Amino acid sequence: MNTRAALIASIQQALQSLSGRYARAPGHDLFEGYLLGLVVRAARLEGATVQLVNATHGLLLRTAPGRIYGVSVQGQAYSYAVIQFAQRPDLEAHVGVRVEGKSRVVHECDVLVVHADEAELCRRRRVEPKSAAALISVEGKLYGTPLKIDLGRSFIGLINDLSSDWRCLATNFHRNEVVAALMARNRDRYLFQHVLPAARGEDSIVEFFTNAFRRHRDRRP
Amino acid sequence: MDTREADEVFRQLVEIAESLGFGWLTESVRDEIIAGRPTPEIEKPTGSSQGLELDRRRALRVRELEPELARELGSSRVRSVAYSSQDRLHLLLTALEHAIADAFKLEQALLQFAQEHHVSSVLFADEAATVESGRQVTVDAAHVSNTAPAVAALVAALQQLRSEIAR
Repeated sequence: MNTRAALIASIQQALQSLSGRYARAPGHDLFEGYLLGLVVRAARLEGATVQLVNATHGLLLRTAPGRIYGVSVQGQAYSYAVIQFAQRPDLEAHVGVRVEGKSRVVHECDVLVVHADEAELCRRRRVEPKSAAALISVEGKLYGTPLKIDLGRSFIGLINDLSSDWRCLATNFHRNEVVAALMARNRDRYLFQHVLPAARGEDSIVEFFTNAFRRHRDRRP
Repeated sequence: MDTREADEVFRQLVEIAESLGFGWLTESVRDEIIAGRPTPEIEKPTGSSQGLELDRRRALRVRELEPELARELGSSRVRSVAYSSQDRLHLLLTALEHAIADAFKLEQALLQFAQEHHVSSVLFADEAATVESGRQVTVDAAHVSNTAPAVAALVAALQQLRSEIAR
């Protein structure tokens, strides 16, 4: 067997052992969970106290966008993070929840940082949080190829309808020329590329989140 | 690697990936190949300094005499250029690496985040109200340590094959 054939055989062997776990779908839910970790890291960098809720038996996250008041098939409440800054209203960070936009249309939000009193009201009344009560909303895209134009267009449509203060699109893919060009036309459109552990995009998006938390922390009551 | 060889390796890897359930990934690679690479029609001059100077002078002259043409030349015109066979293979190898190695890195990061908060595992579960039923994925230390060798072997093979494309 020549070197190239041996390489292809190695790839086949590795893919065979990994396919059970990774072949079903791209790990969008993993990416969203990771982004939650970055939000929490940024909050702590700005001096927040962070507590994970509903995480006694492990962190429980959604496989697909759901409701802030939803529970798993097993009847368990999903985990989220409570973020507290001294003398400021508490915040909650959620993964994969629906949010009500300015048009009253309900959107899916991959990571949402929302005022805790709004989140509590939504859980009690079983309604979706309003984007006006959100500090940060993140759209995450885990892709193996450059993001296509339809994703850029749908993000622009989404941020036009969300009134959260800090909105961004994050992707693991390192080079997305089409979407980057589309986003560059407007200063409010934040695109973070190559967002992965220890990659350059990770620092950039954490800085974006820390700016958001700093503004929240320093805002006068 | 010449065009014929790149096409053959691409074909073999697509066949392997699709037989193992990665059809969604090969489909996204095919979509990217069909879309082509967006490339500026007018590229920056890369010639000698004398050539650059000539281009600058020519640009100034055009601006004086033909303002509309100058505007057109100055604007960014883009066309979609077809990927070469080697580029296509490169796209496929990159997509495979992102699909598995990135997902694994995210699992490691997520587990670390959980452990920092004294939580030993991460469970992904469907919401009761969704149409999905009972899908669950767990990320814990055992999964990470069991999976790491296969991911490392895959990444090494993909990178070696990628380096062969340039030869």
